[in-house]
Amino acid sequence: MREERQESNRKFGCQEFDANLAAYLEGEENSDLRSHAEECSACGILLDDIEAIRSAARELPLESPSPRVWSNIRATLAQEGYIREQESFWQRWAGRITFGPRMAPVAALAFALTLAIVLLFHGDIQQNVNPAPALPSVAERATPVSLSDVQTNLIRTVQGMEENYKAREASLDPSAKQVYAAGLASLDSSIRECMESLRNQPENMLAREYLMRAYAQKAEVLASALEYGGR
Amino acid sequence: MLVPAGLLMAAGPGSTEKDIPTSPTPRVSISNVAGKVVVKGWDRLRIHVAYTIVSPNTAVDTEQVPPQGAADKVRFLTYTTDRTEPVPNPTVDYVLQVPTGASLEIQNPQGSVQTDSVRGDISVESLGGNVSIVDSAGHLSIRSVAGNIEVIRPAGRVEASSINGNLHFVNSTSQRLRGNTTSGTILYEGDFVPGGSYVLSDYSGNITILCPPSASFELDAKTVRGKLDNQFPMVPRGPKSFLPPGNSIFGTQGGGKATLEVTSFSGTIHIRQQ
Repeated sequence: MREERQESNRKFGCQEFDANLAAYLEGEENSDLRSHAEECSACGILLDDIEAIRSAARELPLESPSPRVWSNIRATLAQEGYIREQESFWQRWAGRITFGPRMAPVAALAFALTLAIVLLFHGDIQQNVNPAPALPSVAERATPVSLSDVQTNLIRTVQGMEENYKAREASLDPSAKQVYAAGLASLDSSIRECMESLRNQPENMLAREYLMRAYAQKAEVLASALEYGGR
Repeated sequence: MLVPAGLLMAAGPGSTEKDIPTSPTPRVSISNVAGKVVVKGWDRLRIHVAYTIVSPNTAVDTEQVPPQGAADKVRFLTYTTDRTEPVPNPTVDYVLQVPTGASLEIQNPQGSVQTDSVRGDISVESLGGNVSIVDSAGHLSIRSVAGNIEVIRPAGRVEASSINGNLHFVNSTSQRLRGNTTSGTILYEGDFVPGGSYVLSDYSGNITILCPPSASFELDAKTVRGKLDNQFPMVPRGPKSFLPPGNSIFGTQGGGKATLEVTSFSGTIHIRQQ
């Protein structure tokens, strides 16, 4: 079986691309991988997306949550069973990458983003510090919803992922596209309703929590769709 | 390292069978795109797999670690043989028997997943396919976009999430259960374990809890725009919610040995006796 695959794909192919991608992203030189990405549209799009997201992530402003927030994050992760004394969540998670099939650098980033959204929103809800102008999207311009800078930037990142998704949506398998479209429509609907609730009741913590969760889920769905499109 | 795993056995047309000796607790990974994935636990220290390739230009790769002897890790990967003309949904049906102590990592975006009596950790990622997990004991993590999720008699930690799919939990003995969906419904049937923590959250769908009259739990139920329908004579407790009366219940039932948190934005929450 292995021999069959080698026979059908003697040069550096998609399987080799998958196997070497993580090391390449960590800085390892690999001209074969780069050449393959230039020749293969699916792998090329995947690599471009990952690099675009990495680049966008670098431009996000660094926020310094208070020690209390970090303490809450750690306590939450420990409570959820994601971290233990000897092993961080990231180490455990990275350990899974080596065994996973076509690892999901996009999903990894989205997971980190999701986690950040959840925890930062949670921290902001609890502390209610530094309320900033609303997210300047068309829908919300008329009646702004108070969001912090961190929330606004993270939501913009999700919007960036959505733009990426829309750019490659046409290449998706129709049945997958339909499922993703329905999922995103549900989440967009919940985001709109939560925004509306927050405009009417800015103190409605439950609506804010649902808004945060909808964005977190949207990040996950978009990451999944971006990865699926690269198969 | 990729190696041919196991012994190729006689099989029907289009179907392949393999037998792979394993440790008592192997990690089994299945990365499929469409088709059925069925996994059952058995009391032998080996994996038996039968797979049927349904779509053209599709193949299955098998990887085991270590390559010889009892495998600790076994991976099945569905892939397209011709990347210049990729198959939209490479489809393979898998039926596996694995040691009961195995842990599973299954990706099957466009197909269904069923597991039965697998006691290790189970992780399932699906896009539109339905997922059914019966008699699990390890940490169970299921994520789907549109698939329905059914979890029957889980004993370990449960996390189930879908966007448009429905969630159904039956007779859980889990100490910790989390379920959320955006537009689907949630149905929880059964009792609660003393000390257990159960969090069910929905956006627009309804949530129904069906538990015995003897159930013991502290309830924290909230809805922003939906309704609450509770059949239990609870003892009210604080703190008071910012939500209007009728949109939240904080109460203790039968001693309050478990905690039950149920939240919906616009759906109705039913707390009913079985």
